[in-house]
Order: sequence, then C-alpha cells, then structure tokens
Amino acid sequence: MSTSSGRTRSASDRLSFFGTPIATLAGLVALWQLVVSLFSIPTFILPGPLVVWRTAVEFGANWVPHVLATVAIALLGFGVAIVVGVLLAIIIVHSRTLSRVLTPAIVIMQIVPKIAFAPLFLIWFGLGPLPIVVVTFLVAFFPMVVNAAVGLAEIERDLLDLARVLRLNWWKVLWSIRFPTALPHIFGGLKIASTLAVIGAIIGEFVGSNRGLGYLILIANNNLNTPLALAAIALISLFGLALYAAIVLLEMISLPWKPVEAGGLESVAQV
Amino acid sequence: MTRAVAVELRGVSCEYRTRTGRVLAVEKLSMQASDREFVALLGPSGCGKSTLLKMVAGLVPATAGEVLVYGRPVVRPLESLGMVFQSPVLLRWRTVINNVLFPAEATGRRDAAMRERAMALLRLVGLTGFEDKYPHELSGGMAQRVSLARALLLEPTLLLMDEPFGALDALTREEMGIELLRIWQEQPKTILFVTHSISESVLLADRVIVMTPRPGRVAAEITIDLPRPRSGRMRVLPRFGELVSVLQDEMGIAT
Repeated sequence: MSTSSGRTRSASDRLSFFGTPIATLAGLVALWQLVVSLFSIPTFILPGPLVVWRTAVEFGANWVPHVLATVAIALLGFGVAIVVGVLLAIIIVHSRTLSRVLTPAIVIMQIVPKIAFAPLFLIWFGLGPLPIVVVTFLVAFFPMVVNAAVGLAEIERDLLDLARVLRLNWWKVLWSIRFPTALPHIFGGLKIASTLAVIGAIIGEFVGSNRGLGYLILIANNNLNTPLALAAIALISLFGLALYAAIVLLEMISLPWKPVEAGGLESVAQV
Repeated sequence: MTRAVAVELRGVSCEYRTRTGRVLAVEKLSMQASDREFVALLGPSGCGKSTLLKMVAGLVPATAGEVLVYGRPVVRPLESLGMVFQSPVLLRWRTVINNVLFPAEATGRRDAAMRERAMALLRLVGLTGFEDKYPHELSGGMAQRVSLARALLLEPTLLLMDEPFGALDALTREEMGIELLRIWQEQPKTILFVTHSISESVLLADRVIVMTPRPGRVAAEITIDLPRPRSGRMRVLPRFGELVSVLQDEMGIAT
C-alpha cells in the first residue's frame, strides 16, 4: 500500500514537481537565444526568444479576438467530443448489437484523414466557426470513446452480481458503479483529447477562418513575420498546457482514492 | 425442535453453455436448510457449489427443479438477501463507511439511523476507526470484514457466502471464521457457506453438505455435533478429528 504517493507529498517533492519542468523549459529558451545570437541568424528565419517576446508584447490588445476565437472553438469541440464520446461508450458497453454497428464506424472515422476533409466541411457547413468545431470534435473524440468504453466495461463479475443482489437498475449500475470505475480511464482520454482538440482547432483555422491563432500564423507567415508566428505558436502551446494542467488538477481532486503520481505521462500511457 | 425451512432445493439441475460446449454444473440436487441454521457446502473446486449458491441468490436460473426460499420460488434476487463473495468487491472510490452504506444508498434508504447501524456493524467486525479509510489502505482480511458488514447492513434473513475467507492466510481465516460465528450468535440468520476446506466447515457449521465433483450432487450430509460457542481450540478435541476424517472419507481423500 503506497501511502507516500498521491496526496501526501512533501514540500521538496512539490518543488521538484513544478521546479524541474520550469527549469528545463528555461534552459531550452536560453539555449535558443544563445544559438540565435552566436550564429547571427536573421530574424525572418529564426528570431530569438527576446525578439518574439517583444513582438508579442507590442501586438498587445490585438491578441484578444484571436485568442478568444481559438480558445472558444477548442473548448467547444473538446466539450462535444467529451459528451459524444462518453455517450457512444455507454451505448457500446450496453448493447452488443449497437457495439457491432458503431465500432467499425468509429474506427473508420478515426482512420479517414480528417484534415483532408476540412475543406469539404467549408462547403458542407459554410463559413464561420461550425466547420472548425467539427474538425476539432472529429480529431478529439476517438480517444474519448475508446478510453470511456474500456473503463465502463471494466467491471468485476462479482460486482455485477452484487448489483443484482441489491436489485439495482441499469441506470444505478451505470451511475454508481460503472462510471466511478471508468473515471481514471476517462481522465486518461481527457488528457489525450485535450491536446488533440487544440491541434484540431488550429488545423480548422488553417483551412478556413478569418480569426484565431491559426489564422494569425498563416497571415504572419505570408508577411514573413516569423516573430509573430512564433509568438502565436507559443500562446497556443500555453493554452494547451493550461488545459492539460486543469484536467490533471481535476483528476487529483475527483479521484482521492487513487494515489495519483503527479499526473506524469505514465498515467496517460497506462490507459 | 422443528424450525421453518429457509432454503429448499428440489431436484435442481443447472446447465450452462460455455465456448467449448454445455456444462452440467449441478444435477438433480435436493437439500434443505432450516431457519437460522449454519450450513456449509463442501466440495472440490468446480463441483458447482458456487452455482448452487447463485441459484439460491436468484442470479442463475435453475434449468430443472425448484429453488424455494421461505417457501417461495426464487426467480430473481430476494430483498432479504446478503451476499459475500470470495473477493471483497469493495467500491474503491468509496470510504469504508460509504462502502458499508452502499446497499442502503443504492436502494434509497440511507439516513441517520442507517449510518448508526453501519457504525455499529463496523464495531462488530472490529474496524472502529477505519470508517474514513479507502479500500486500498486495508489488508485483505480487513477488506473482507468491510464486505461482511456491508452484507449485514440491511439485516438479511439469509446470508450467502461464497468461499468468503478463501483468499486469506490460514491464521486470518480462522480468526474471521470465529468472528463470523460470534456475529451469527448475536444476529441469528440462515447462512449458506461455500468452502473447500474440511476443517473450516467442521469448525463453523451446524451441518455440512458434501458435494460430488461436477456435476454437483449431494454425496453426504453430516451433522456437526460439536458444542457452541466454538473456538479454534476445538480442533484438538477427538470428536473434531473424527468429523474431519468422516468428511475426508466422503470426499474420497485417502487418510
């Protein structure tokens, strides 16, 4: 029984938990600046972090609509992916027939190159945020379905017998047994899907939009404004990181019974 | 002293299908258990004793014959039923007290009185102070105590136990058995106790029903006439040894 892990971390553990990744990142940024300065690389090819920082600050309030657009689309697509993914998983776990129908369809949807479909979505769903949300959803929902389905199906035989002895209906079994059992898996799916949702939103914006960080990267590229493009990429990454961190935090709060190993990658790889 | 018949099986068979074909788990088996009697079902692994228990629980339908609990045929799990499995099957996201309260909560009967009762049961199984622990913080024996407390919460008149102490070490196993007897003395109820341990069945039961290897039938019924309350020290009594050797003979083990 590992009681030292999870909730009872010491102060020095906590320092290394946050400190190590920050130090690593700072080291990489310093190396980047060093290389750029040392070899006098032209700004339009690779600007140093200082130039990128200055460009980002100068852009100021112009960021707001672009950041809001991308965040809104990524969150919306992610949200739809969560709801649809978990609902599909519930159906798959409860009906063998529907599972046989749905599983191949879902796998095919995952295999089909969604990015190639993005221009078609513009034709089908018109201009505006809808086609981008659809791309985001399609990119993000697969790991949600798979993880939720694995989690919901993972129930001991004796536990099912216990539920029957207590005469619980399928809804009670789902809500008070299957769902909590599945939560660690669902969080694994959320972690993967959150990163994919951000990528999906940017891809969607590349293909057709007049706003958002993806759109901004295209414009900056066309103008050879490499510092602005890199600043936009940095913001996207920051947003993706924040979303991931929020999920890890939520996981730690909602799974107090599970000794969480500080949200390391192994908790994603496990599932 | 005649007591009501709690459980009655009349010519019960159970056949189920597996990937490799049909398996006849239980064949034309008849037995009875009286109200408040402690009956052990003893047999080798795979003799259908668990299937028998599940038929009484209403989890598995009998393919022939009749299963009656307090005179009524069993078609689905009865309300006044407690069940303990070989593994504790605790809900790992719930604390000990909330695991014990789960049957009440799931059936919409959780209230202050129920909580009192759950605390009393935890005291009864010797787990006072562990209410707020999670299952992963418990030892195997402690987890099985929680499982027992949970099965007792809704005051079942019939307790079905499927090798409940089979996964525990010998010492904990005997300790749990004696504790079960103490609880049974305080709150008498009918117990069907599946085991493959001869000495466990002699130590605990009023009557031992020996089953044949698959398909399961009744090979013998032995009344255990050791005095109560029982204790681990009774193992040294000559009568204990006699009963064990009788059961060994019935199970076909050369001594």
